[in-house]
Amino acid sequence: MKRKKNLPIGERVFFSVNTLIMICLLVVMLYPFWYCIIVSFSDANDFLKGPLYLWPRKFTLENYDFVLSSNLFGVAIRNSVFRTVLGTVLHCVFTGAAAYGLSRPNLLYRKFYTTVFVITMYFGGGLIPTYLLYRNLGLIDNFLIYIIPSMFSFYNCILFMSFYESIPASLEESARMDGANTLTIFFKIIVPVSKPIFATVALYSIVGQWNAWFDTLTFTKSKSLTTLQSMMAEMLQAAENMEKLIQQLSATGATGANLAVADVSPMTVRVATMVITTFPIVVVYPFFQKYFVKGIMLGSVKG
Amino acid sequence: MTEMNCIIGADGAVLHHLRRINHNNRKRVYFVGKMRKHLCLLKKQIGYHLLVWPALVFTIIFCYIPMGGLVIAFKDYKLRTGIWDSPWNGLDNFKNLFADYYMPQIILNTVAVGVLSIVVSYPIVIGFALLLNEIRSAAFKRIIQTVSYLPHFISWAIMAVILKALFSATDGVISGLLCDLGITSGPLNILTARDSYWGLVVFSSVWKEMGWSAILYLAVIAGIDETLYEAAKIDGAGRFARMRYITMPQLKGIIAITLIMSVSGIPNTGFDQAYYLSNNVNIESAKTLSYYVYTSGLQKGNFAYATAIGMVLSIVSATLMVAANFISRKLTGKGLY
Repeated sequence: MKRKKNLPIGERVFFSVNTLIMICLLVVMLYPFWYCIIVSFSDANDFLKGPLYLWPRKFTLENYDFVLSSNLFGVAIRNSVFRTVLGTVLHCVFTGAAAYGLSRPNLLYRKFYTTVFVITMYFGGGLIPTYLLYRNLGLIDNFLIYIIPSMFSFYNCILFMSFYESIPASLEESARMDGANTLTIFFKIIVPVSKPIFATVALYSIVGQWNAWFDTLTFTKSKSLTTLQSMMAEMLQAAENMEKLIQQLSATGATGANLAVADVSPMTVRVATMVITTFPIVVVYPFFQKYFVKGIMLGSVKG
Repeated sequence: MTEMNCIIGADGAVLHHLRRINHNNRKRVYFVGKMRKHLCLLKKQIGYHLLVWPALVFTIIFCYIPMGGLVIAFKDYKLRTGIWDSPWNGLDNFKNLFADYYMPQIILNTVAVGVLSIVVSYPIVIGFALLLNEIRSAAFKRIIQTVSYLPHFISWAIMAVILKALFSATDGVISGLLCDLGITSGPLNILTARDSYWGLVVFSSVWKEMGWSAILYLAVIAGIDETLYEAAKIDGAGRFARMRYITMPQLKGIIAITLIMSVSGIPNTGFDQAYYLSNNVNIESAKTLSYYVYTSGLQKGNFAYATAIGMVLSIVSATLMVAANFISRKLTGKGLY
């Protein structure tokens, strides 16, 4: 406070204006989320009467009740959780192990291996050949499509490699003296000391898997493979058929409640689904942001 | 070997012949020795190689086979006949690309959305990083940063829900607010208007990625030597002069690198946005090349044609990267490679 008083007038104006800009920015960043939250707690009929700004006029849990009680939602959340957990574990083990092998400095053919991987960062087959490959592999309309193609990423492999390079070689050598094989060394020694990088990559993978929608909508057809994201996307796509979808949802679900279709509207249901879908990510990411930031820095230095 | 030379004595031709065998043998012995050493090393390292090979096989299947699949761009491909049995048709698919009635508009949309995004987002992101850096309170700074990352972590499906909730003409809050304030009389059409589509896409992308993109710049700014600022202060440089003449030159390198990446991404922009925000009214402004690949390939089944477009896209993208890198090297002395 004291130091601020001593500042010249220009500086003081600058700081005030700057703080004001940042507060405006906070509002611009947060208000859309806040708006979605209040709409999700609003009564559908009341919502149609006029716009809401800061608070729901008529508070209700009907929208959440509707979404949560539908069978499709149960399927969607199960698939989302499964693909996130399985996909992330598999990605970390597979990519982390490959990176460990690749990071050994005197590895034979290291240059060759790296070249094979690096080329894929710049060129690719594109959508159609990839689709045809999945089709030939029988991955279309198969739960494995969520897990297998995302098992390895060379970008994350680089992150792992740059971390492993900082691990002292003596750690590994002493274990080798004791007669441990490479796989044991990897799991018993390398993984425990590499927790930060595993956390970083796991978080990238978690967010990627949780947010993925394109593969579900493009490569799967069955309702049993729906994820939260694709369910939401379908709600959007079928905006005009939304009433029908709501009826369909209430036909398949609505176990406990006898919901009248008129109690919810496309907008309120959609927004409630969105809040449920976003919630886990929003809760998790602030605690892990240092890992994310570390990952981005490592990536930019290496790439 | 030397005994042999003695036995043959003075017969030059034979001697020469034997010398050659000798030489070859020695080369072979050397080669075998090297080979053995090599195998020995390989055997010692086999554990590591066994870790790399699965990833290598994976990459060959999921990255290189699709690259090979690009041959269908040169074929009259039908799903029934398969990749190998479909007849070649030379460059017909590429020629169709030039004859395509929609192509000029699609290219215009792609370039417009891609270039506008860069032109709008870079000043905003850099400005944000510079201003955030001037915030004194560490706690406030942290809060802003954390909040500004938030939209990065949501998918475009969620973005679309938010944008529809905000901008819907009938029940969106923006339209309602403007009506209540008496600024507009009727509902405001943003989502279902051709003219507003580009703006919608560009600004929603900036909103989504601003905080995240600023991370790199903030990190570089944090690493700038404090004494430079002190010296400039003594020389009488004001706050903005210091930003202009100290911070900006230090950011040049990182800006060049991110810009190269952004420029090479232009051919592939606009897919998610077109997927979620296009409708019958604005589709003409929404269709970008990557979206066209999707609709013409997977929805309409023109696999070969879509592959040809996709192939041109990745070639253009790689070319842009090389070109941007070259220009950046000339101008700033910094590049990706």
